[in-house]
Amino acid sequence: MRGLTAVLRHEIAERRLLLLASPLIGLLPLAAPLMAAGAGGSGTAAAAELRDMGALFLALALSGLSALLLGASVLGADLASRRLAFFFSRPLTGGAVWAGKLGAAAICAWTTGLLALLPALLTDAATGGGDGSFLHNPLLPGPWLAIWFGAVPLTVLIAHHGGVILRTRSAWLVLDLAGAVTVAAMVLWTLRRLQYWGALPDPLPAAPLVALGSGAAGVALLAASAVQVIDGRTDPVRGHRALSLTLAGLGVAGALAFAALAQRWIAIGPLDLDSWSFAAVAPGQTWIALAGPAPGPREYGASFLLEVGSRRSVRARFATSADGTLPLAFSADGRRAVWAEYQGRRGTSPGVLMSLALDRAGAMPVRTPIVESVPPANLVLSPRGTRIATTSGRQVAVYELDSGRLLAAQTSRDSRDWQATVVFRDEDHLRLLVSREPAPGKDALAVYDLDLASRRLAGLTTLPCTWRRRLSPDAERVACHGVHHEKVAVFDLASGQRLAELRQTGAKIRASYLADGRLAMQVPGPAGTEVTILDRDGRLPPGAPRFRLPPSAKLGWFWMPKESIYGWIFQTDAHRLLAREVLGSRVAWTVLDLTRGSTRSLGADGLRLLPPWGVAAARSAPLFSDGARLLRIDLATGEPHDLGPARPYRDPFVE
Amino acid sequence: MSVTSASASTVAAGTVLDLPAAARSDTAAGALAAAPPPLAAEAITVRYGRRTAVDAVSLTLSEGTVYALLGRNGAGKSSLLRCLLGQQRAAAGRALLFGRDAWRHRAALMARVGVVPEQSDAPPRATARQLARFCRPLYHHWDGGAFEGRLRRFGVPADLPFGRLSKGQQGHVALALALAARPRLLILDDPTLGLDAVARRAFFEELIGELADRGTTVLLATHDLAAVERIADRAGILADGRLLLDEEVEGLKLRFRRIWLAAAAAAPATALDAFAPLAARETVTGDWGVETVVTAYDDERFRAFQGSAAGAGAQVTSLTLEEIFIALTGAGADQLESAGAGGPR
Amino acid sequence: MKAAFAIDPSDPRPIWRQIEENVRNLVAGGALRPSTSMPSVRELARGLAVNPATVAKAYQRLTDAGILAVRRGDGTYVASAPPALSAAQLHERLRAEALRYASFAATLGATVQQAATALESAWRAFDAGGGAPDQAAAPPGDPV
Repeated sequence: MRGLTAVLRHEIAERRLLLLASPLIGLLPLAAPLMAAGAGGSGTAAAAELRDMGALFLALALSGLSALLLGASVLGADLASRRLAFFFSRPLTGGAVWAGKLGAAAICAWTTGLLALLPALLTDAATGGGDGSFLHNPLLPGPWLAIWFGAVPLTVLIAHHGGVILRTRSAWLVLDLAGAVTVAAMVLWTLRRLQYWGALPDPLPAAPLVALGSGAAGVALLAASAVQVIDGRTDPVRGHRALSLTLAGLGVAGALAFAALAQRWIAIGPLDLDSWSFAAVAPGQTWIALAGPAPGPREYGASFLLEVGSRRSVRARFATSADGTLPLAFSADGRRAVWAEYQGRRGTSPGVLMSLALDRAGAMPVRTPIVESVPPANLVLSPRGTRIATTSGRQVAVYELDSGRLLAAQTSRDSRDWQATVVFRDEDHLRLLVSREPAPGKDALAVYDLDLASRRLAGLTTLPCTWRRRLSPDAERVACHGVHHEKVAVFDLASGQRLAELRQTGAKIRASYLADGRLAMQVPGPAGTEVTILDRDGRLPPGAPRFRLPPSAKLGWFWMPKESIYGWIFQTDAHRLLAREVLGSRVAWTVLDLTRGSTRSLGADGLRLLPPWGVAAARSAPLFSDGARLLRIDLATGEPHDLGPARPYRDPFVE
Repeated sequence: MSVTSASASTVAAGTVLDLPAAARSDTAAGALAAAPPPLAAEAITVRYGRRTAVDAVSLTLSEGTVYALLGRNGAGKSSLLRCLLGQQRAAAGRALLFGRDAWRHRAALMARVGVVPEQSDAPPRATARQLARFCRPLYHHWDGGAFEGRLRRFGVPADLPFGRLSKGQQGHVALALALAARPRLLILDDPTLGLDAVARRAFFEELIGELADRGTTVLLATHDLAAVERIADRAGILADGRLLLDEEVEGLKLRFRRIWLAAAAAAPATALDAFAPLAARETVTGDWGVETVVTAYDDERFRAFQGSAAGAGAQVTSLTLEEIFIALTGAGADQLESAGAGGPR
Repeated sequence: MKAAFAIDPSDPRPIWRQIEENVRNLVAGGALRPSTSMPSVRELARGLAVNPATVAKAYQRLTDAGILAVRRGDGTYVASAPPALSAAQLHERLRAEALRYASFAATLGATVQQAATALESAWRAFDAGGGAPDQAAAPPGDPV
């Protein structure tokens, strides 16, 4: 310690002229307002601001310049001119020489900056400042002060290293350059990888990157300079060698550690996610699409497809559309899954469709030739999975999945977005429902049939369906709600004929189609919600099942893409429905037996249903996550079947 | 000093001499033999790339010795000194100061070592007084008064920046700084290079005063053989990185002679063969006769030679240390055979 | 001081020996009277620019021989009386030096009479109390 303070005091005293000159230089900005006044007088506030801005700029410039010059010379000059032996011939440790000299350089650089600022600060204090002065307008908020504080020693270190490397002119320069290139390449490669897998955004956030990079560089430079002085002593070449080896070693080690950390973040499975924020169960409950926040950087999310039986998982990079929806489709037979991924790193890349054969063991996702400039809002697969339709705000397109051949495309004719819903009636025939505003406030639903073989689009009808439309699974009927839910009208889509109108005086009505084609009507009341199961046309058949649910219970609506037109009620099979009651953070499930008209509670409290994706999926037995395990619950008996570990599912309607 | 010669008398126990205890090594030879020598080089080798600057040099200084390390420019003196000071890592061998490895324990060891470098390395902007102020807290004993006194005696202004002093003044300041710490070992690398006669004299007077007061051990690497031969107890000659000899100066002076034979003498070649036992070095022949330097001179044998027909009229002169040095390291000088060289320590 | 003690580095004799002999000569020749104070080791070493240990050795030998005396706290002085030596010691010391002188003279090719004559004249010069005789001990200079 004695040695360190002796060196510090000595080195600072050597540069006292610089420190004395700083406040004198800091007097210059005080003249600025006089010049401004002379040029036309803009008032004391502006003068104060001019003075303070000038003082700040001068202080920063002086500080930075001192750091550069002192850093390059404090050790480097002595080393090159063989004056370092003066210190090493005294009872001073190498560490004292290193820390004393570099520390003195940093202290001088900080002090010159502060001293240059002093006259302006004192003037502000004396004159009470103006609006632009430091007193009223702190130009040195905390974070910037911290940045300057850290930038000074970093500059000293960089200047020192540059000075040593350039002055010694030894062959170790080769290692320095090679090391720098290698480390930069490794770090860049790792960053690109992290961006590709969604751990880091594109473009990279500048501030954390600069902060981390500077910190890492600072540590490496600090260590390298210490080794250079303590081991190299008075020999410039030995010093450069020590410096190069330390820098290269630390750099490569750091890059490797970073790559290893990145690998740890990237090589994860669905069970490593903190939670599942998105779940979509395929028809037959064979596969589940999952996504959620992953351990690692903030905003890092990962997506997977998990095979329920074998627990095999496949990593995917689900892309979201401009509207924030997640385009994903399963074929009705449950043998194929299609989703969109970004072609390159995130954000700005076009969307490419990926396809996975769910029925083949060991299959991996395959890139289809289908690329769209942005990921589509919605994907619909034909029943056997040979054709795929994409919809976005302006366009509907139908492709042959494996070849990528465009079979048909329809674009909105004017600049307004439309809402198009596509249903495959079979492999070659689609029905389109397009919702647009012909005049403000007057919504209408236009129905078309598209024949892929002949490429003909036939307009069928236009319906005055303004609010909350629900489509039947066979795409033949639509139930339209009134704006205030005072009525529900059922239309035939082909002819446009109104088949039924449901009303209940003094009550609101909601209706939605079940997976088997029947229409469930819900009428909420003070005593609870009355549920009546009608037929497809909205008529009450004899012996139609009726249920009464508690007031807070609802038949299950689940989040789906383009939920504005569709929402499927979950139906386990021909006989059973699930009702969900949300009570604060608890969820209660009730099974409604359609045959017997009875209800049964499932009891368990932390159960979250994993949403079925599509009509076909809505017909199978439900999968739940209780926060730790994946369960299939036999709705007939209420018995859970443990299918393995799971993560908590964050139901957007509950959480 | 530990010189022995034919007619030496051991110092009687209890005799009072006005020398400090450290120099009375003869009396306490037994006790001091246990203490590690102030400086020891053990087969030090230094390489720069393919060039070997110091080749397995070993030497040891005992307490109170003044050792002159002689060598031409580029012989490896500076590299050796840097290893001994712990500032350079030897490729092989060890440098020991007071029994401890100089590289590993440099910082602690420098508290007992004073260094006067060949080229003044003090910060040029600092004044002599500021340099003293810097050094003071680093040492256990710092004699500020002695420092100021020396500056006065040398006539060096204490408040002029070091870089503005003359070379002689810089050397004096360096010596004053080194001595103010009261070192037990002094290492000087050509301290009088470039100094005028007056400055040189003042320098050595100061050094001798220090020796008289404190019996410091001194390693003096130098070209200034004239001054050194009066002060040094031992001398070592470094040539091409190797230590040619390492011997007491007295012994050197006793065994080196220059012998001259007039040209008229018959068959000089055969005559000089007679000198083979005296280890003659190169022979110089000219109109004025034949001359050779012998390295193992013996009075009796010379007289015998003089008496013989071949050697009639042979003359012998002694050599100064400088002449010995030149004879050993001059152009074309071969390595000296060390048989018979180097008396007991 | 340098003139008085005249150290010659090219002289093969060790410096301490030269100092010792010079002091002896000075005392014998009367230039250094009894009880005169001698320079301290430090002073003499500095003055001659020689190693103090060398001076100390010379002083020690001179003190042993009784030529110099040390007074505690006061320094070194020329002895007040010449050394008290037994006849045997005297004979032994003289013999050693005589051998050296004799071999030296023989080297020059002098006869024993010439050597004896030179010795007698030198002795008379001492007795006369003149200054230290010129040290003609330097061997002939070499052409270098």
